[in-house]
Amino acid sequence: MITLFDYALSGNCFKVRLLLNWLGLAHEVKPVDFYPGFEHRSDAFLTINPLGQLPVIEDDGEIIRDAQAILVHLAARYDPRGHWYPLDEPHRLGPIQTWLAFADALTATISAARQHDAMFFDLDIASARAGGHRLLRILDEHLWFAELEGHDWICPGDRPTVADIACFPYVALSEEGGISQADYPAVLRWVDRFTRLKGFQPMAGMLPLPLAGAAT
Amino acid sequence: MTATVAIGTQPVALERDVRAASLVRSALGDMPLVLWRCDQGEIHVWEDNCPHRSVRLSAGRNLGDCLEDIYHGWRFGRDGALISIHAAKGKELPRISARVLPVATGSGLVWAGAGNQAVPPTDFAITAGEVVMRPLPFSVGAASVAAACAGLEGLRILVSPTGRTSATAYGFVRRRQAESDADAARRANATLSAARRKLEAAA
Repeated sequence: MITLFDYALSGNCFKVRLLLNWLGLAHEVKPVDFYPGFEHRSDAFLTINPLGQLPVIEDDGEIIRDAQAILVHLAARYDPRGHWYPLDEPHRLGPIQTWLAFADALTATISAARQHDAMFFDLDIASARAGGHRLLRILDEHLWFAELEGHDWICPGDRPTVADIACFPYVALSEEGGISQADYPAVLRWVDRFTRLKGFQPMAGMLPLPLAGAAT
Repeated sequence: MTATVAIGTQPVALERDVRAASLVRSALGDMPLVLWRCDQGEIHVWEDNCPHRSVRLSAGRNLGDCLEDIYHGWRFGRDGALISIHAAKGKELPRISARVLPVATGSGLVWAGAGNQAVPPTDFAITAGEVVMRPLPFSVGAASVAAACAGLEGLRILVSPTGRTSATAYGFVRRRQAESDADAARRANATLSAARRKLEAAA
């Protein structure tokens, strides 16, 4: 049985919930009151994750922390087809890993800006937003040229991978941190495609309404 | 080669980037825009502002024959006029309309203007051997962008103001011998990105 230590408004928790649901994995959710309770800084939670970060999962008695590590763990262990993390195609793993690290950078910038605007965290908002725009420019360029070569997803292939799941939440939520998406049309097309994946359910704060059955 | 600021009618997107069943965001100077392709294949350019409660229309949905606002689900037809309100069956609809802008297409670009007509400049049309570049947004004003891009070899640039201190560069790159369209577009994008880094660092 898998237990997810979860916060409903966290993009990093959302990505784990998405993959758990897409893989059809039964799991128990333990809500952690990140805001306003700051329960992630409590002694009880720091025993589970000394970094004080969400999400965390417990799987067969093993604790796994870090959203990207959890995605890799779940996909490698529970997706025998290898769609989300293609273990049988080693040449694809390096690029996927590159974008998992990029997702961490999105957390450091866009998620920080959102915590400032939505949860009153005290941090350098100008620097967080500038960092977010810098990353969105990089992603937009990457996706524009990927489209030109006929690819719909962050890493070449017929299907999305954990790289798309990892990058999606904070890109889609960027405007909650005052980071406009207007200058990133290729990013918006990718967000559109992602929200139209079968079984996708948005989290609070994600505006786009998926168009059922629409051509992508 | 050349770079100038678009006046009156300006590029607002690449034609191929405006797809069925989706919405595109852009700007005409200070005016935010929403672009959508209807089920008849035509591209529509409107001010990105719902005339009902000012929520941006681009957060809504392109339903093919109309655009639906996300906030109250009000629907606006191809001519911009309100055509439906949820649960308003049988009652007369208020006569409100989205602001519709004149549109033109040409050289792979979507053009819009604030006047009565969109008229792309005759001296900025794609020629044989040229490839449409990836549009590049800048966080400095259009005049500075044009000045910084004027000398870039093989590129013809038209700069669309998207605000007082922001602009997007559209353009064509001359393909080199034995170079693919994609490689030419990549090369032009790298050249323009380098010019942007330099310009934004100075600003």
